[in-house]
Amino acid sequence: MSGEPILRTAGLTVGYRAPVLSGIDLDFGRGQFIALLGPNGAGKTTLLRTLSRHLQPLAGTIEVLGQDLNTLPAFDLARVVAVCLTDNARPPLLSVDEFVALGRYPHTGRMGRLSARDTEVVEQSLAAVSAGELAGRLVEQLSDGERQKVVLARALAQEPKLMLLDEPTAHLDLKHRIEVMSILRAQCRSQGLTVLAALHDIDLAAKISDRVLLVRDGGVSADGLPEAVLTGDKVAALYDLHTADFNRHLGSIEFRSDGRAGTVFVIAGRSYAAPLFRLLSKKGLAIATGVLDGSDLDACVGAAIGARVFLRPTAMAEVGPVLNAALAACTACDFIIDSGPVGIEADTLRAGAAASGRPLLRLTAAAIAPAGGAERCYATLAELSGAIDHLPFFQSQAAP
Amino acid sequence: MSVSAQTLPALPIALARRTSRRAGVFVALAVLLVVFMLLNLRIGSISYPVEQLLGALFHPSAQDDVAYIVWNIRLPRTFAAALGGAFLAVSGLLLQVYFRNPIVGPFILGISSGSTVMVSLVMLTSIGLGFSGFAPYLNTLASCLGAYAVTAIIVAIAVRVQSGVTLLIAGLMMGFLCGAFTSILTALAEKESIKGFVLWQMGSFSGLKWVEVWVMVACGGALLASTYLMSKPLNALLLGEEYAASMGVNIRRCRLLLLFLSSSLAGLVTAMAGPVAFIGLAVPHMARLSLGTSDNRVLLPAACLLGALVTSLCDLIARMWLSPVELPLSAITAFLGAPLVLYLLLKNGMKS
Amino acid sequence: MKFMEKMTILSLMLTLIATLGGCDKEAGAPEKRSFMNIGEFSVNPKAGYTEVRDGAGRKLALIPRGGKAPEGFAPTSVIEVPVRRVIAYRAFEVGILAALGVPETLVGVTDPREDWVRDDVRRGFDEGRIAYVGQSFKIDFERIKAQHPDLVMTWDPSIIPMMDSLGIPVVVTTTPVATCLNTHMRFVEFIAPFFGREAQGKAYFEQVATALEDIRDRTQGLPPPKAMWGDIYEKRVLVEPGNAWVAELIGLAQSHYLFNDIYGTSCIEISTERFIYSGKDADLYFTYRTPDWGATSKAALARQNPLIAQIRPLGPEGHVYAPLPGYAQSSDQLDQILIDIAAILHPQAFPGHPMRFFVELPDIDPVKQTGGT
Repeated sequence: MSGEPILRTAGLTVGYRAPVLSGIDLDFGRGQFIALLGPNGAGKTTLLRTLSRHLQPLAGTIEVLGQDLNTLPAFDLARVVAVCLTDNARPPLLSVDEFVALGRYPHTGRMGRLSARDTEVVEQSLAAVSAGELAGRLVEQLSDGERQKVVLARALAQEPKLMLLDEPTAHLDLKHRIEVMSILRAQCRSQGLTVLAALHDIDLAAKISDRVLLVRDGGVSADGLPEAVLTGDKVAALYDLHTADFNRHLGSIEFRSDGRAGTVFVIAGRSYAAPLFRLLSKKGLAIATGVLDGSDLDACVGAAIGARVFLRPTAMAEVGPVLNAALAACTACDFIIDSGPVGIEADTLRAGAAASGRPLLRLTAAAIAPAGGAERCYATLAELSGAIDHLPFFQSQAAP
Repeated sequence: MSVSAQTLPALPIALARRTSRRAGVFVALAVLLVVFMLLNLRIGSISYPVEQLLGALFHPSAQDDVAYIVWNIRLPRTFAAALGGAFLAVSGLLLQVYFRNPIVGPFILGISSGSTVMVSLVMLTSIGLGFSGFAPYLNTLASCLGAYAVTAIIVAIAVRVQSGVTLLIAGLMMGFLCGAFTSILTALAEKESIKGFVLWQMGSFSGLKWVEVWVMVACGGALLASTYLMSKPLNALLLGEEYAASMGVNIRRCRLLLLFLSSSLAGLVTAMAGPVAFIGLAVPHMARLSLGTSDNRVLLPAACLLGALVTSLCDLIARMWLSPVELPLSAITAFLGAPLVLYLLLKNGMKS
Repeated sequence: MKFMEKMTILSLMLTLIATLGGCDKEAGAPEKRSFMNIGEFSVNPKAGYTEVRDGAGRKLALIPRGGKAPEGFAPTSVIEVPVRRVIAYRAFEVGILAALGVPETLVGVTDPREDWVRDDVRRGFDEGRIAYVGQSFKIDFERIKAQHPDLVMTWDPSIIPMMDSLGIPVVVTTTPVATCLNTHMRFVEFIAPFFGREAQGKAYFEQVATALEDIRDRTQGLPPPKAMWGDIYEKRVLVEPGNAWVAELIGLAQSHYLFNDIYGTSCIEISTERFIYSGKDADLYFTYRTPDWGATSKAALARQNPLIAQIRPLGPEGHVYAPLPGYAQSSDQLDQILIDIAAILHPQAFPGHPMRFFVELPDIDPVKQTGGT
């Protein structure tokens, strides 16, 4: 990222009469995808509106390409900064290409007649959002996802260097969410476009952005690489999370179980158990699991979900104490699930579980009951889920 | 940017189809307008043979009845109706774009109420007698004054407020205020004078003088030309003020200019013909539907033609249905306009 | 909404202005049809009472004072006659009271004192007998109640429920279908039973009929002048249609009414074109406006409405007549009004006739401009 910053703010305070965010110092380079994160009402939209000059800053300065935002002529500003608002314009009887061509506004003459180059840019913009085939359709007849792509194309047709987007993926289905984000990122990479997008979807933001700004409590609380900034604690603090955790390794939010429905021990390992953990968590069970390698996905998800994870000690340390602790937890649980790992520890736990007389449910690839086993076997998570619901203790728990 | 092969042709084909459709609609509108204007010249409560009418048309100074009726009654009225319709349609279109609201008309901001107050002052009180020097144009002048006074107030309010809705409410309140004032004057007025006033309130292109027609041509022409020059920012406004601002539209200046143009056009018609209902409300819709676009560079001229055409037709009906008895023009336009607006509302209601 | 309101006001105005109404073509043969069943009106003597149907089609029972109310009538539909205190909406009814010789029964009107030119009404105001009860379309019910009327004569059926609750009988004295000369003349016979003045009513009718006969005789065989009756308000033209009583009278007086082909309520808007076309032929033009309202001279009319400057009556060979304020208030002198109109049409047939209800407009304004009211 070289050259003059696209946008720079110093000591910026934004708000309507009363300050909403203050002391904002930003410096956006070319080609960055910057995600603006924060709870509702934290001031994301206010900041965006100030940067797009819809709102006067209460204090501080904003420079666009080294020029004071306030003195920049409207057309010059429009050639640098494009916006996509949440207020989704749905003008009646306007075709997609006419809509996108409106983005050429700062580039065309008095009557807005399109030159050959303007038409070309419109076509390219439509192609960039892969909406070329929508050209002749009416905007009002598009689906939400299609319309959002067209809204992006309009902003692209402005040939901006900075695009400000307010929740561009709200109301969109997964496919279109991913598509919209991919288009934006592709523009960052190929055209050097800088994107500042207020996002709600922290998973997506973490995975796509080059940089995140966390906005909360009247200021920018963190600014940097998502990989560095988005720790579980920071995210939990940002959104006041109590029942879920952001897992930076997984890059996603996992819900914590309240454990009121009972306790379960899962004999896990080899990354088989992650979906099982989520299932058990949703049933409100407190989970204990072991004995796992720290690098095992099961350990990662288990921790994110709030399970008690018995980790195999690293390097030289003895496994014995951990295994004993796990065994004790296992035999104290309401029931035990064997997700089918192999290994000495797993076998030890199995034996302990069988000896404890607690219900032992087994998830196997093929539902073949091992000879002489007291345990019950299930081939799929769905069957297992049904079986848990029929456990006597679980029913008595759930009944009231 | 890579462009996939199959998506490329869609745009040129759409463009070509659109262009030919628009050309067709424009030709049809122009032809129909000419036809209706000719009909308005041809048909009247007194029927003359075509040759006689043509003779009168080409010999304006002839001292016979035909020449007098053609040159002093039919021609001014035909032009006034066409011009008035065009102005009202454009005025309505401007406000519909600005408020992004399809059921807004040129009188929503109280323009006609302002005219009505001033006209009621002249017609219902003895104030008018003090200005008898202006005799034949007194009402026109008063109405003009009223319309532009309200326009000035609305523009002054628009400078202060940001939201279109606030402005809309301000306009409605202006209307109520003016209406209240008018009704007090009516209550105090002599029966004899109410007669003319009630007639004036119903609007008509009857009895317009050439001077007035020329004023319409000159002022209205200038206003229409200025409006057309605004069609680019108007298009940007289709996306709302925020988007328009982000594309480089000077919102404040644009808003003031737009309100001024719209109100001036409506005020001009009201001054000459009194309040004529529904044209400004319904014609922009008809233009949009017939052309299938919201592009104001196309819509503005189309609304002009269509407004002129519809008003000419309505005036013809008002004059001729029970000829020589005149029906109120606003009644005819309402018969045409109200069902259309209702239909559009229902259609939109079903969509959302 | 607004439009409806305007239409309502207009129709009210038309009703008001039609103080001297007209009626449909079928009723155009005055001799043959009895007033007793013109339009909605009827008067049917029954045993012990008279059944009257008013302009709104309501049945009223007229009973002698102290008499017994017949079956089937609401209390406010039973009226003890002769009526002693009456409120009249229209000047026309006020005139009829005078024609019946009972002007002193009038206790309320809908025009203030200064609008009246009738001496009897002005005197009534001065004596405190007559009260101004508010404009006809926004009547002051308290004032009405305070006048203790036995009867309210109105054109406005919407006041009936309120009047019922005040216990005041109402008779609706207009009907949209009875506006011809015959109705106009016989109207007195509809009002007469309310005051026990049937004989006077008949006599008055005879008097008017005689005047009409006289007009017919005197104008027989004279060359018919062409007349038009209406006015132009700014840019709009209102005229008396062919079915109005004045049009009928003009026909009876051996003259040609130029708007005979137009049918409608009194005071109807027609195209300017037609007005001017007919005006080019006309000898005589009757305005609606009185001199107080701007009809001071031909030049004044032409100046106010340059479009009609061309019509023949405004030129040197034509004649323009404006009604005087007394015209609308003198229905007790209908015979004189008819003769005035006939004398205007055929001055040679009425030598030395003093004009009382109309004034011929001079070519130019008198030196002192008439201004204000």
